[in-house]
Amino acid sequence: MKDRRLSIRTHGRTGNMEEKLLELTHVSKRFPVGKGKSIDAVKDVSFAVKSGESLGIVGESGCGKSTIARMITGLTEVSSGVISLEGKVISGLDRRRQREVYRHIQMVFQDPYSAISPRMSIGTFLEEGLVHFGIMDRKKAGKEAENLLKLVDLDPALAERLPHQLSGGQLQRVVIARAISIHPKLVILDEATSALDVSVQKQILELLVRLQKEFSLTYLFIGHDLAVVRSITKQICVMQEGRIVETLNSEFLTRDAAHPYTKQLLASVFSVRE
Amino acid sequence: MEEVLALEHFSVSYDGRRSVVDDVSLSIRQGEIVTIVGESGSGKSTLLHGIQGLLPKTAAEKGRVLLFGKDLTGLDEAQRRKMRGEKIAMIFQDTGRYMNPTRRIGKQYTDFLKQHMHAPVQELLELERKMLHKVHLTDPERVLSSYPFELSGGMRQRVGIAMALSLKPELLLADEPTSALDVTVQAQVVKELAALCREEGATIILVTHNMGVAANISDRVGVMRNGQLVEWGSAQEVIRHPFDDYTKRLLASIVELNDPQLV
Repeated sequence: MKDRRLSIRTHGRTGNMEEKLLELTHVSKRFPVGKGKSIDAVKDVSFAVKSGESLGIVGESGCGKSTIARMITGLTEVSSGVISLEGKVISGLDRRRQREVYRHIQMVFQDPYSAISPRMSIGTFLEEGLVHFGIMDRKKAGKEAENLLKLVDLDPALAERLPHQLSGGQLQRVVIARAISIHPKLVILDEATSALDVSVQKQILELLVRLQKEFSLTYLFIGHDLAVVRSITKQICVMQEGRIVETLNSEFLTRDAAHPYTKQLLASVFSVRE
Repeated sequence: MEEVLALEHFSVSYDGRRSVVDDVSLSIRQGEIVTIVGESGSGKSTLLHGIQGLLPKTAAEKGRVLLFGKDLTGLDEAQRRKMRGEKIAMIFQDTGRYMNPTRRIGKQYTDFLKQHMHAPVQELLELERKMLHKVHLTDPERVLSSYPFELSGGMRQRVGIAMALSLKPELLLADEPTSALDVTVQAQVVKELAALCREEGATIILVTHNMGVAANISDRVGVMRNGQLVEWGSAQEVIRHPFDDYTKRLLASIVELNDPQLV
């Protein structure tokens, strides 16, 4: 693990062009709404995420950001365009081949309580993925579940507990541990910190950054809070009404923002430090 | 300035053991914009319900809630309802949920006013139009003839604000009034609400989890944690020179646009 960490650092410093892990090319989604009418939820969206990096998508409700996530994970079919993972097309596959691909893509949603069956223990939830994807047998998985809890700074004893016995922040840590346990190539975080209290939110963001460095994870971080998305990404796509209106370097977001909509979003932030 | 509301060692417990609101004392003067900030479970919503007298019957209250010097905790339900209607108004997180989905906004607005005012319908309509204008709904006729679902969340929330202010309440209570809205709309509505309260001289207690909102619109800020009011002071003092460790931590946890990135 130590070597891996080191190699990523070097990688970043020398500024090598990493390969494109995920690429969307002219992807659109049209939902029929009856009477021959339809809604274009996603319009001609193209972007790429390099391996080991994180890309943010920011927009308000209804802008299509979650539809993009659902198309990448195969929960929703694309209407047109192509989605590829490591150069291989993953949109429009049949069920069986889809399943093989989608073990490489994991998702973390806003509400951790809806990600776990209320009657499943935390330990079982963590073992489930490992066993299902054939990474190890049930026996070893039990031990691994405890390691996973430690990895996300939780007490291994929590493995015995049920979801409602954990706080929202603790449970989101569990969900993140479950997502990375099967070594996915891409982790999609859809408003993953939005339901958490401010003090917890920052801890989860810091955890995500640490895990990314440790395991050279690739993130697609979707959210509505510009400051939060900016804090852990390299690039941000700003979406409005199904389109990407602007793609910006996260670090210089406030300086470089040119599109009126991005400026409007920036102006809507109430700051406590200024 | 006259004192509108005072809490004296006010505590609320739902189970008779743990205090959800724990020994809170504060005083709010006429025309002040007060924000109570806290994370989930801090007791901020229970505090608002306590002020209104909307706590469930099983809840145990201690201490006093003084509205213009009159203790509300001793009153029976009928007396409290009268106080509530005449002196206190409430804005909820999602006004749409408190509206009847099958009736036009105008009908509901008029019915609401009729409960508290004895005036000809024409006069009530006049007031409705005036108030809708004040919350920047520039086409009141359209709004009044709409069903709730025909309006956006931001518009519905503006209607809620207009309704709450129509009766010229002495005290306006708002529980996360913009949290259900999109960020851009949120900023507009919060600013409008604050400006309108200033214009009308209304006193408002706004409960939110958003420290940024507190910092930008309020005269006075309180921070709640585990039922206690751990911080209480002018917005300037609380944001710039917090006294309590928890407030300091809370402020440090806020991720802002010009902070160093975490990556």
